[in-house]
Amino acid sequence: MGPQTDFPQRRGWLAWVGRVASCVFVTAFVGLMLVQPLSSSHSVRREVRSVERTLRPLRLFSPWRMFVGRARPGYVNVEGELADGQRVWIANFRHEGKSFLARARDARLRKMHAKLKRTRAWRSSYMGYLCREGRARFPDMWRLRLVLRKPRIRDVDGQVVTKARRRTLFTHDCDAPKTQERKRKRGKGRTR
Amino acid sequence: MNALLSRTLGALTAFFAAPVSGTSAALYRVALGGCCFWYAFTLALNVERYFSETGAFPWAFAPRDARWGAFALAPQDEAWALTIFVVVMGLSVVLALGVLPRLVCAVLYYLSLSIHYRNPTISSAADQLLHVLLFLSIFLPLGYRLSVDAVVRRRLGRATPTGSIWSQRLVQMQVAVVYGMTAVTKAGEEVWQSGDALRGFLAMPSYSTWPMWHDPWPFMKPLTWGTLAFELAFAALIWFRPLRPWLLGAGVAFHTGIGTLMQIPLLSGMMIMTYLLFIPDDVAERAVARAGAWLRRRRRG
Repeated sequence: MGPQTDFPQRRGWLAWVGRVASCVFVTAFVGLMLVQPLSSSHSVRREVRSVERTLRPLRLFSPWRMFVGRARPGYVNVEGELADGQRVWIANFRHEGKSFLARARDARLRKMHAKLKRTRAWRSSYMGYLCREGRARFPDMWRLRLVLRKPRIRDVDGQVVTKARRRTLFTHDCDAPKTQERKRKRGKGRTR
Repeated sequence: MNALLSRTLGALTAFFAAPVSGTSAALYRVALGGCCFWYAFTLALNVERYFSETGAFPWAFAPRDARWGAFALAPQDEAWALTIFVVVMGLSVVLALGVLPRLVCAVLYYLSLSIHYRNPTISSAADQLLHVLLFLSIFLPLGYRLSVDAVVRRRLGRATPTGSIWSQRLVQMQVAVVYGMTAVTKAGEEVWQSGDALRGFLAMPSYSTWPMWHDPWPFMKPLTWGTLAFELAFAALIWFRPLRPWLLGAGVAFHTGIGTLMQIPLLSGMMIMTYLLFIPDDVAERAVARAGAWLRRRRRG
């Protein structure tokens, strides 16, 4: 008894081995793809835990949760403070006023800034980099502020729905490179 | 019982092992090459910021898995990092042209993983999808048609091979799973059930191109429910050929909308790119023949 198909199939033991290998691969891949949304305590998930752990570095499986959850209007950007007290944007992922290339360049800042809120490990390195980059444009910049902004949002009629708010999460003195260097050399808090 | 088993096996074999000419895979290959080029180009603009010792994320912070990556060969050398991106751009062009495309996909997959592990703080769902697509592309019949490989094969007098559809089915299933999983998870959430989710996301400065609170009616609630309906319908109904053009058309509109209204063009572009693998080979061949005839007419006229 064989499968009824209306197309020719290659014969021979090599073709047979190929078909079996493809079947095993497809079944395993689809199976692992489908178990991803199950909770980690689910019995099926527990059965395949060791396989998942082995394959995790290959980044082939994900629970795919894009746009899941409630939208949060706040976002994190970095402001520079000049000697005269004026504040300027140093790293801003928004597209406004940027060239096509600058937009492409800054597209990934959103992800990085979202993680800056939670992590301390590489924050000083990033701030050190921004100090150098910012000072190329504003030589008298002396301090950076990591700012959580909740902007003023209007409705389609122009009425203000949400008032603008800002909160400084972290400040970084650009004239303290030695502290940064020490932290970088220590390489504390490796990301997993 | 035996007849039922035989019919089921036949259906499964027809679904996973039907022969393909590789024309739609070839169109997908060109798009994948373009996508990888753009991915590497935007990162190459940021070598100092994201991948250097003086940048945001020095090598000391990279996760353990980074030691298997290409950056580990000269982790503190910015020129080496730039070289990796130039190589990815070059390989993307080679992939689009169709020179040993499966091998190129394997190398691109390794390099894209290396890039991820060198600085995982900038990775998004689009990058994860790219990893999966590059891995699965290793098994696709990418070079059978419209490729340098096909030209060389013809010159050498070798027959054009025919592939089996199973690898293409895997990518199709992956796309359906992406839609299905997000839809099922979102459908269980109050904000999506009430139809207010898109209204919130379109007011978010971190995503929205023009952050603004829109009125729930007449567009926001129907668009929110429409998104869920589309994602569920795609996952369940894309397998029926008469419905496929409608779902693919709706998907192109859906992702063009996301790409325009939100600042996440890479994911939208990649999802549209995967649609090429849902086009049956005979339709893709007709489209290619028509495009070829149009080009020849233009060249003459």
